Amino acid sequence: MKRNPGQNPALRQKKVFFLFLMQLFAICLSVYAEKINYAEDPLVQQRFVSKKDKEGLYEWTGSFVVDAGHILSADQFTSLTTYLTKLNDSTGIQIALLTLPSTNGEAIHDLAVRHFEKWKLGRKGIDDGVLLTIAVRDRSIDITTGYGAEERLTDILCKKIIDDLMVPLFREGKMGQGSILAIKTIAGIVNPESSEKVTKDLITGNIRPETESLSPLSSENSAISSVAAENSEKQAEDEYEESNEEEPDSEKKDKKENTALETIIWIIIAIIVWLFNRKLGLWGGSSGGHSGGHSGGSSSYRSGGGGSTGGGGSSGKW
Amino acid sequence: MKNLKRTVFASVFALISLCFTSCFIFENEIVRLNQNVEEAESNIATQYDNKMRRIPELVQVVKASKNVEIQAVTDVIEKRANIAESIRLDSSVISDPEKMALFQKAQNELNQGIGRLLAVSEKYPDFKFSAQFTALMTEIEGANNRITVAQTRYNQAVKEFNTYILSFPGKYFAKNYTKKVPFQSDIDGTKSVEAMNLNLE
Repeated sequence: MKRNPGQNPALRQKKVFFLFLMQLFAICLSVYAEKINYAEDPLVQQRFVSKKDKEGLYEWTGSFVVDAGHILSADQFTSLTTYLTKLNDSTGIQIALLTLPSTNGEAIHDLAVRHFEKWKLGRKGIDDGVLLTIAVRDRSIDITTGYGAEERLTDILCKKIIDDLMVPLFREGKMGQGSILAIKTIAGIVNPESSEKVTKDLITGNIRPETESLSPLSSENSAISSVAAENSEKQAEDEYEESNEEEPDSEKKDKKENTALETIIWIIIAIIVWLFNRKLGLWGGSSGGHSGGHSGGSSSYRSGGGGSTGGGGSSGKW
Repeated sequence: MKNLKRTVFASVFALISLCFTSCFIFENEIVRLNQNVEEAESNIATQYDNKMRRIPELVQVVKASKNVEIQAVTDVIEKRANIAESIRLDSSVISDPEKMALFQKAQNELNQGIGRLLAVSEKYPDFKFSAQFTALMTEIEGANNRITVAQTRYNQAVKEFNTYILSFPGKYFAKNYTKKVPFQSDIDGTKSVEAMNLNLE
């Protein structure tokens, strides 16, 4: 700092104090620093990230899919995560998939209920969350419904989904496909718009293991609903490209919002510094240049909506 | 000297008013926890009612099948269900170990009856895999699951309540409340429930 001979010590103290305040403020701004957000990580890598907490329950990752049992391919993981995220955005319904190698002796329904209570799927009060749990080595499947989802997705329908849709595919080894088909059917039934149609289709047997699930989301997301259950490798490749194209758009939007916020904050800082300049006469002219905010920024870390379950749903084995 | 007096009075007054207001906090907390326990209790009762409602439906389905052996087993179930319904679950039953034992016994016998029905139905696969029977069994299984969850939540609420009225500040405000009894899940009962699991393999 240049030492101006004309200034008295009192003024110099104020300078130092002011600079200290600015430093403190800059440190507080680190709250906008980039958080490690699992949901934004390359999803291909994320499907291997599944941490457990002290009680042995898997941690929520924000991507609605915890694939510790490794039954989904990279493309399936990506498309399923996109589907569930868009479903949550458009309707508030939170459906999650949990696959584990084994339940270690515990009844799969109890384990599913514990995970549901930990993750708090579904909106608080409405409780429209559903958890699909698959224990690969135990060959058991469980669907656990929140209070609100129970009204449309009854225990009997859950059993039907497991027995008619999932078990045939799982016995053939097509576990990823089975899970995706089941999730789309569940989404169709829990979503009030499509509930009647999909329920009727399920009961009458129109939804078969081979067909795509019929769960129309709102028209904006029709592009996503066309990313249907994979029936062949060719389709999987096409969808992987499609989902990749959509990702950059949403990322750009988030980045734009964040940098706008940050530029506003930098402008406020500049104004404060400039006012102090005028008052104290520290140094002439405007303050030094500053960047327009750093890249990335924190997108919202999607968390469970606070919903709860009554323990309803059904389970089965294949 | 005057100043000292003033400060002493002021601080004593502040302390007393603090105690007074904190009493409200403790009392209200006890009331809140008590309400939680009662709500959890009524949840359990609801879930048991829900399960009992399935029994008449089960009897209907069995009668429609016109299978003599299965009907005989179902008559037994019907009788036991009537006994079980006569003991409705409420706070007096839960806190009284004798009544609780009676209640558990009735429920166990009912579960065993249903288990036997499942065992007998193995011989008649047409009946076992018929749509209505599987639907009913799914509902009964779901009802059992819900009962278990309701019991767990009740026990948690009871634990919170008991801890609060037994530990330091709550002790002195809990004159009208007694310690609550957690729901004892009967060991035999759970075994017979497992016997009810429908394994379609």
